[in-house]
This record gives sequence, structure tokens and C-alpha cells, in this order.
Amino acid sequence: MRDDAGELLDEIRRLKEQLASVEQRHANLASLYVASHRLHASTDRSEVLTVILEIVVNIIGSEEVAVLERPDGEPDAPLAVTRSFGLHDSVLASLGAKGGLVDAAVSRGQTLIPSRDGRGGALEHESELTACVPLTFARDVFGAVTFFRLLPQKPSLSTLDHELLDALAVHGSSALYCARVHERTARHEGGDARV
Amino acid sequence: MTRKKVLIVDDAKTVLLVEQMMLKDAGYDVVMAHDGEEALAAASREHPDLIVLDVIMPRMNGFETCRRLREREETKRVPIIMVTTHGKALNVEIGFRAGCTDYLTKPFNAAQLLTTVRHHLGGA
Repeated sequence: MRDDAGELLDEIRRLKEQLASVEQRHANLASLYVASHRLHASTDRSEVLTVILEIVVNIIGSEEVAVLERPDGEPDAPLAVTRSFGLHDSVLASLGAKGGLVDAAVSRGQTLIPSRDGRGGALEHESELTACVPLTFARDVFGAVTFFRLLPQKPSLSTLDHELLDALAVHGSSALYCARVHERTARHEGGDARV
Repeated sequence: MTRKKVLIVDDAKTVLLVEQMMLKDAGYDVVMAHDGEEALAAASREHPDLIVLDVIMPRMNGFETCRRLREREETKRVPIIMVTTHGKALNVEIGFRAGCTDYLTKPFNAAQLLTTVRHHLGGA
């Protein structure tokens, strides 16, 4: 009888662990789905930028984030900050600088995570960079999402965070690119870019 | 059995949508509000069984919203879970002084939210 009860308790514990694991995966998928859905829910550029910041601040967990973009129609122009949260002006002014980690990520068109890829060549203001995600369309980099320190209670990027960075690279890029095209078209037609 | 109703309050739509999806899938009814003032109106109208309240919001922050909810007869005893950016002792203390029942820290973790809601409400 005691053995049966023990086995039953073991089984309950195992099922609880299984449920927790499934719920965590479900939560991760829900976050990814909502992030992608939100990025494509609007063609308003300002709204798309807001969603990118919401994903980094609230779901990944960094309150030091900036989105850089090249001015529309100027493929050779340097990247400049178009939206930010929690970063000092001196960092914002340096973000588009040549050399360093952000420039390397943008030149290669590939996400750079210093904790994984190394910090070699980091400029002074990049010492606490957590990730730089280039925003691309047809292999052309037109912007980047960069963020620095994670919240104190978050020790490092999780599996979900890496998936969210992939989502930003793919869906963030296409959403922001479409919004830029929409804005340009609306400007030429003298219409309203909001939908 | 009546489904339990959860009011979720956050100015970030992305967070609201993830919370809504998780809680609905777990069998709860969900009502959303985007700031403190909307939360007070929704609480009077919807009579939620539990409220999840972000701290940093425009118009009225989470602490003030929590205080006002506690002053009202209909929400005096409703569990309120505050979501703080920092788990700093001061923030947590202000939250409990404002009348919150429990707290979660950002970044947002949907699975953790579900565990905490279940703890206070039981299964849906």
C-alpha cells in the first residue's frame, strides 16, 4: 500500500514537472506569436517602432534600447537613432559610429550577441551591449535594433530571447521596411500613412 | 462552474496580448485595460476575481490605481498582483503598502504569471 502511494506521488510529481515544462513552452510560443502578430499589425512606422521597443523592454527585459535607421532613399547615409528608451544622450550620439560591434553587425548583416560572439573591437560605449540585430530587406541593411544592460533580475538571454531576436531580425525587418515604404508612398500622395 | 475573471492592466499592448492568450487558454475570462483610469472603470463594470496591474503606466500609475481599488467596497478584497520592473525592496514595499496581494517582476514571464494567478484563484 505504502509502495503504491509512493509510486503515485512520484507519478504526480512527474506529471507536474511535465505540465510546467509544456506551459513554459506554450508561454514562449504565445510570446513569439504575439510579437510577430503585433509587428505586422500596422503599417504605421511609429507604431512598429513602439512594438519593437515593447518586445525588448517588456519581454526580453532591457530598459536600454535604441532603433537606428538609415534615412529613407539614402543607402549610403550612416545609421541614426530614430527611437530609443533609457539610453544616455552620449551613448545615443555614438551608436552610429564607424568601427565597433554595432558597425560590425551592420556590415555583416548578422545579429551580434557579444556574450556569444565575443566583445573584440568594442568601442567604449559598447562595453555593455547585449545584442545588435540588423534590420534588412533583400540583404540591404536599413537599420538595427541595439540594446544594452538587461534588467538586474535577468542574468542572461534565454532560449526565448534568442528566438525573439530571430523574430525581430525577420519580422521586425519586414514590418519596419513596409512601414517605411508606406510612409514614403503616403508622403508622395499627400495621404495619411495610418491604417 | 462559473469561470473566474481576470482584469489585466498594462500600457504595453504586446504584454496584454500575451497575458490574454495564456490566461484564456488556461480557462479564465479576461478583461483588458491600458492604464489606471481604464482599470478603475473596468473593475467597477466587470467585477473581476483578480487584477494583474503594471506599475509604470501613463495617467495613473499602478500604486495609485491599487490604492484606489482598495478604497472601493467592490474591490477591497480582490487579489491584486503588481508587476514591477525592479524587484527592489522599496518598490515591493510601496506595492504592499498600496494594498497589493502579490507581485511579479519584469521581464514578463507568462508561465510565471499563470502560476501566480492559479495560486490566488485556484484552477479556472
